[in-house]
Amino acid sequence: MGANTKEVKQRLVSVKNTRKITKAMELVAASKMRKAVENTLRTRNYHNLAWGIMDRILSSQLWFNTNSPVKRFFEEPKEVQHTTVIVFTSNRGLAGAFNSNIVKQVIPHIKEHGKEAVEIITIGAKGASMLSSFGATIALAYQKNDTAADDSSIRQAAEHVYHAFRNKKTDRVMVAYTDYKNAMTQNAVIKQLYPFTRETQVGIDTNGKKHEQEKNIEAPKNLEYLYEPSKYDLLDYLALRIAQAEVYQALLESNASEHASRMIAMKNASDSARDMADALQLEYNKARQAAITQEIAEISAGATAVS
Amino acid sequence: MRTLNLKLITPARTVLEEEAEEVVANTRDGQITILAHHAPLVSILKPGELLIRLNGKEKPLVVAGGVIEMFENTLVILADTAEHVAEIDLERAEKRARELVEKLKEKSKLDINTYTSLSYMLERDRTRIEVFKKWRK
Repeated sequence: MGANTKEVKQRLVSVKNTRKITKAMELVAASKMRKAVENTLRTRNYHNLAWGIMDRILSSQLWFNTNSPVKRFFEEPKEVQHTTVIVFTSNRGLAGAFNSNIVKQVIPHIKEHGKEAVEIITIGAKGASMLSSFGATIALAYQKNDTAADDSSIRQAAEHVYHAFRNKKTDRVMVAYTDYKNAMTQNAVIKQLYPFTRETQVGIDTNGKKHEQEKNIEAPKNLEYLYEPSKYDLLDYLALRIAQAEVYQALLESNASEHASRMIAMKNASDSARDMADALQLEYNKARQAAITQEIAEISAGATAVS
Repeated sequence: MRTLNLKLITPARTVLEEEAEEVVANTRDGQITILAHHAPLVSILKPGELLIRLNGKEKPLVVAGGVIEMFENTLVILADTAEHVAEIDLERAEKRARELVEKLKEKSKLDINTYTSLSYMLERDRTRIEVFKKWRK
């Protein structure tokens, strides 16, 4: 057997091994995705109810004749000097275009306002390295918890933006994450968190189709709540809680999307590896056959020479 | 007795969704008891015990802060965490509380955000221990 057969054989083995790895990664990603989707659904309840309460407090009374710092959370700023963006990416690569799609959403935003005016908080290691090589100001960088089952991993980030916004260090807070539609489609989106807007609610996309929202009961106009301690304290408290819920929701959506896109990327890799292995197998068979034919030719040539 | 609809929800899960005659909760301004058809109310919950009464039975839970809203005979409790007393792992809570106390001793090394979140966690574990001891005698 010639050197050619040996070489082809080696490549065949290595391609087959690679395929085993990508196949395993595909399966792992698929099961992580299922869990992340389940968590997303479970959180939605909390999220909707928190919004419902805030809606009812806001609609029950006119209250903006005050200088309370809480007011800031509900009014469009007259002038935007500083923006904070929370960016969700994965910690590791091999997830197709997952990370570059998110970064593509954030970069125009940075260009528009200038690098100094936009403060970035990254959740996920890839975002930190991609955006810092672009030259963005990164204030805080966290690892993303890929299999988050509670909101402890993002609580700090949410508290940070809440305090920064309340103390007028930033005028707008955005969240960039990947919205999970289904295993095949995920959209990178950037949404406003503070001040609150009607479109803030993470997880409800523009056509409103994906997540049918439980209709919150509208408050009667003359509804008078008993507030303890006071409605400003309550709205202040809710402003933080809702931020936590939103950021947590964004984390879960991103997790589901990350695992989905990794699953697809690994599926494609496995399929290509299979095609490549098939081609190599064919090449190997040909080379082997050629070697045998040649050997027979040599033997019979030798035999003819002897007789 | 007339009952109210109770929903106890945390970011991670829906803990309870059931009827109750009476709910006793600790708010920032003190302990309140809510009966069916209470007037609309919104309040901030303190870490502590949450007691639910139905048919002469008491169900004690531990909650860690949150918001409580009474509206149209539905009591919604949005808590950061909530667990039944039977679910509390005393040893774990005590161990964690000790570790947190140690960490908090090095005050000068911590920034303000870490400090507040650590002391919040400590308060939560202390409440767990306290409520556990009260009901497991």
